[in-house]
Amino acid sequence: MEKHTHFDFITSIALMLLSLVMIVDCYRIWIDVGGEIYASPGMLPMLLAILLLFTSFLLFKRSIRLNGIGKNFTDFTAWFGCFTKSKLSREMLLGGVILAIYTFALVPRLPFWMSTSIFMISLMTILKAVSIVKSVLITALVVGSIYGVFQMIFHVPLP
Amino acid sequence: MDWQYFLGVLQFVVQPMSIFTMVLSVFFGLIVGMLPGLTATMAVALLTGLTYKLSNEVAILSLVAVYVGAISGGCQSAILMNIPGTPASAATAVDGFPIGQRGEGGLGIFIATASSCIGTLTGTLCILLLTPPLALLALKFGAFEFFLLALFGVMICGQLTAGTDPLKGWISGILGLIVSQIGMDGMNAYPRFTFGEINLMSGIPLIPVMIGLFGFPEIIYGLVSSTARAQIKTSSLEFKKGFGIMLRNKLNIIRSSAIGVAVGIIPGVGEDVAGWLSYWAEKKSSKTPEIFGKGAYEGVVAAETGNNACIGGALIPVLSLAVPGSAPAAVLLAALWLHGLRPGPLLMSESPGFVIDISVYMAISAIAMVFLALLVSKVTVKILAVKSTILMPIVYVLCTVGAFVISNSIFDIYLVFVFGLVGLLLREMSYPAAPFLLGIILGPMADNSLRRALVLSSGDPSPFFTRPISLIFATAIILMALSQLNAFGWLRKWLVHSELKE
Repeated sequence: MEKHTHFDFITSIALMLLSLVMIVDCYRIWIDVGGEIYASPGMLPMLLAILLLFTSFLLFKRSIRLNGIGKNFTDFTAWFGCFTKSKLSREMLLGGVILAIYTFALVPRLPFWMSTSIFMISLMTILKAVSIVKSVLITALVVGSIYGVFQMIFHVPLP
Repeated sequence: MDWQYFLGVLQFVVQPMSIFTMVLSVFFGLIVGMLPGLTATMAVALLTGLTYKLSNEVAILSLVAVYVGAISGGCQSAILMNIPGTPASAATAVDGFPIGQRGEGGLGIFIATASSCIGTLTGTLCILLLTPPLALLALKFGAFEFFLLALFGVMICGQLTAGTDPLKGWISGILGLIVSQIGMDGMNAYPRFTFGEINLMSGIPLIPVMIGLFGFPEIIYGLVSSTARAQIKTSSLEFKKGFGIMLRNKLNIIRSSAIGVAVGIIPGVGEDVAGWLSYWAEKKSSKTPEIFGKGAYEGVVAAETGNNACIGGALIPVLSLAVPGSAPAAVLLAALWLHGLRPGPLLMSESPGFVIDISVYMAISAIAMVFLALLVSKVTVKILAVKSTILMPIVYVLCTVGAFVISNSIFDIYLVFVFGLVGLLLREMSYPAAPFLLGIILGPMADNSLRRALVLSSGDPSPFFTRPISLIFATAIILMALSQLNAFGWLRKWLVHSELKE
């Protein structure tokens, strides 16, 4: 539990802010729709926001009891420093960025076979998984199989 | 049992297309299950999208088969590599790997697979026996009960899946319930938290969320994982010795099956908990607990029987209450909705044969799984040698396709990524993902039930505490919350203090 105390401290603050914003928004929904509050579309979200506020406050209180405010801040900044320097976290970020490029840039703009080929070949090459020739072969096999199964057998449109 | 339904489903499953689909799905499940990092939830979620265009019967058969295969397949990597293929097989690795290390990998896989099959069959029997009475009981549920059931489900799931920190499990569940409130509400069609985005008006679709939540973190970790795996070779299966071990473990099998089914019925608590509890119960009752952890066959039998019996247990509340018993069962519930089926209290009257259909699918999948798992075990080591840096890009492409094909929407692919990041954050911050998912599933039911109940009682909340079934749920929820707030500790201190004063 102590390992994540500084995370708990930061997340509890973020969650408390989120719940406060939600409570205000739910009140706005009630005013907007009118009628009794128990029949309002904002009823359950407001209850949930209050519950979230309460539980995240408990988390906040616990993190302060275990570490204190100052130590939580220093622990978090120390963790952040390590995170930015760590090879593993950089690789994770790189992987995430490549997945994001495929999701938000390649898939909506290019045909499926092209976007997937670019994504797979570049990712396997960057990760040094196999040689370029092998990555091209694996990609062709995967894209061909997906086209075969979805478009030819099931007649399902691909992205 | 109504024999006409039973014969009807048998007639369906012996068709070549059904057999082919089932064998392929069990095989796919086994491979996903044995590959570390790919879970049963992910396998079912992925296949839900891929089976969208199939007929209802074939799609459900396929999903049930992949569920059974994935939960069972995890034991092979646990025994041969000390890496559980799925969290459900974590307890299997404790004794399974030492069995493999002493050159009995084949025997270990045989008893694990046989135990998995028996566990699944017991779970199937329990579906047939327990679903009808539970569905009858569910007919007594009104809006008050359904709201409290949803709240109870999310709370107990949070309590049991968060290990030593139930608070984080509850927060995860509340966040899931909040996400489920996005979109137009069911009573006034008022758009909530949509920020004017047209794609959010109909709410957050379940399948992309599930694929992202469970698949994305595994893909990210798989892309950076470069740890060398300690592999050992499999040996011959030793059927005779294996059967002997199974016969000696009759009581263990019965106990573990009962634990597995009971754990499965509890909303959101999955096969991993069932495996550990069964293992713990066997160790506690053993005359030789000191051999556990050193390659005890009993440990493997208990863990595998328990986690597979949990499949049946998890499907009982799905069919009778539309409340999932585990994360893969939650995905299966979403898949049933996707195919136009309506599990819940009315299932027995609307589709009386469906419970029998599911049971038969599970039973034949379990039997097919035994043969396929033992066949696959010959090449398990080779399959496990595939680099995750090759596998994970392929898995992400399949996740993308799986999310897209359901409604042909690019927005769903974006959701996979967004909820993938949420899943990654939850895992990094030690919040369990299962309550989050359960919250998303039960959120709409909770919202509609709460408001309908309060409208019926003109805003009076007292029926939540005066109706008998509601009272049971309300008491359980309050007791859970009080235990987390250490209220009982304070009460004890106060009692001791007042006694000392006297």
